[in-house]
Amino acid sequence: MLKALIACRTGMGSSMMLKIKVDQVLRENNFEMDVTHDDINAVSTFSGDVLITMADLAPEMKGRVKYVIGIENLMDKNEIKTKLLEVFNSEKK
Amino acid sequence: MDEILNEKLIELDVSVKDREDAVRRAGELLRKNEMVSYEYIDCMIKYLDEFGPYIVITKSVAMPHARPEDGALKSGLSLVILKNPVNFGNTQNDPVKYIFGLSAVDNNEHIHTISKLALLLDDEKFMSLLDNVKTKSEIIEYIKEI
Repeated sequence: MLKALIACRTGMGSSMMLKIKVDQVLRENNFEMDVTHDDINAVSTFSGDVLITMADLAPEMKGRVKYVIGIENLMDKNEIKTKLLEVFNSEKK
Repeated sequence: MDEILNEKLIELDVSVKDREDAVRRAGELLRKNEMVSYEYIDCMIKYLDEFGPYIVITKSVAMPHARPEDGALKSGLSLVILKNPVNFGNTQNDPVKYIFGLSAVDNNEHIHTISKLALLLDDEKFMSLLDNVKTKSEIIEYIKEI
């Protein structure tokens, strides 16, 4: 199963909100992913496959984790679903 | 739904000059209700300056906050509705009209508050109520019902 880290700058507000929405998307679509959340410093010790973060943070995180997903609208489940699907599809190849 | 907001934590029709002013107003509400210290508000502004756009979480909605150790006294939310929306520098979700100030003492209480807020932001009826709201009690009544 893919391991994902959801991270924002403080690890308090946005990452928690994003985790709630990502969990909903995973559940509703029967996607399997092991998800934790933390602040962005946790990236340096993260050994999983996917980083899910805010869109403005994503560019500077590229390359640190195999897949980096930047979400524009934390409440938009379609956006989250589409971006997760891209990861799942790349994994299948 | 139990109370995550009360009338003392809401301000309607607020005029602000910029995003800092908007965040400060949401912080002031928390402070007046003894949920955060003055230092906490300064930290909310500091994070805003450093991270700007990232506190805008969805269309028209910002959720400024600082860390528990910055002076959070009690977990909870405040809500400031702006008379004139202001830009936060988030191209996708600007301009911001609703500021939900967040105070978090520890992670657990915090999950509770944020899950409630997530439910509300997902609720089209609630969001259209906010768009046309006239009195604070309309918001409180709605939250009680769900």
